[in-house]
Amino acid sequence: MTIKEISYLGVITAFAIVLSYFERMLPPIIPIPGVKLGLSNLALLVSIYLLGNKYGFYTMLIKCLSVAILFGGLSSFLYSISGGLFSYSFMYLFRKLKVFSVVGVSVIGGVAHNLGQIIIATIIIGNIKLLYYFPILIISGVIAGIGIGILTSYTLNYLRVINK
Amino acid sequence: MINIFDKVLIAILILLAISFNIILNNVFSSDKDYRSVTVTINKEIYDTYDLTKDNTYTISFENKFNTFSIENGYVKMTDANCRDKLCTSQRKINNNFGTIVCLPHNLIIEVGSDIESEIDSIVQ
Repeated sequence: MTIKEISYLGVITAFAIVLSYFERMLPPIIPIPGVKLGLSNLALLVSIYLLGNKYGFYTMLIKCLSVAILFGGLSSFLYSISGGLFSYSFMYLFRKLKVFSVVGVSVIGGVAHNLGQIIIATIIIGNIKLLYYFPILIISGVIAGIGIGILTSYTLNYLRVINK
Repeated sequence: MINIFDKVLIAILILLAISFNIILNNVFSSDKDYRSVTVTINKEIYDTYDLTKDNTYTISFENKFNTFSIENGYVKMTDANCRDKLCTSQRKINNNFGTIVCLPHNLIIEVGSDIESEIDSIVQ
């Protein structure tokens, strides 16, 4: 771990936490639990593409822990870490396939995040009927994923120019 | 920026969502005319209410509260002190099928599950 990597990791993770906080202040778009923009996925994607898989994973982990300590509680930590782990694993696999652009990876990340959260919610609430929200959560993950993917693509272009 | 593989992935996911929606609608919807509303907190049934009687109920537990009203066979969450208040803006549910979820309070209001689960337990 070089000093450059450490500072990049710090800045990007701080960025993820701020985005997460910012999103909490926005009013909900549709009143369905789990439907959200997932702005902090922008920072996670930047971390994965710029610093690599290992640091991407650190960003996800530190972001979930910090947000839970700062703004949430245990139950919101369970939701965010399950969403984070699902989303990270799928993005890792889909990036390994080397055929998808940032947008594709972002879309699968958004959908997997919602999938992970609905599974945890079904276990915590203990009612299988929660799966009823599954289709709408896939659609919302796809839409949010496309938006975040395009944003990430622009962000990465700028950051690569700076890096040169 | 978006390549052909991304587009295929997006199309597959949307198809998946649509087919899940059709399957779930077939599994969950029913022609039964339910008469009761069940409130479950932390996986335990809290109470059952009559869907045919118009009334407003407030459930208080551990400094938390959720208020819901029953009107003309429809249930609507009207107030709660949870973090996101998503439950209060969820659509009202009726005698056929529906759930209102309050994730921060681990609370779920559903129509008709009591009758089904009784039948299930007899079958088992």
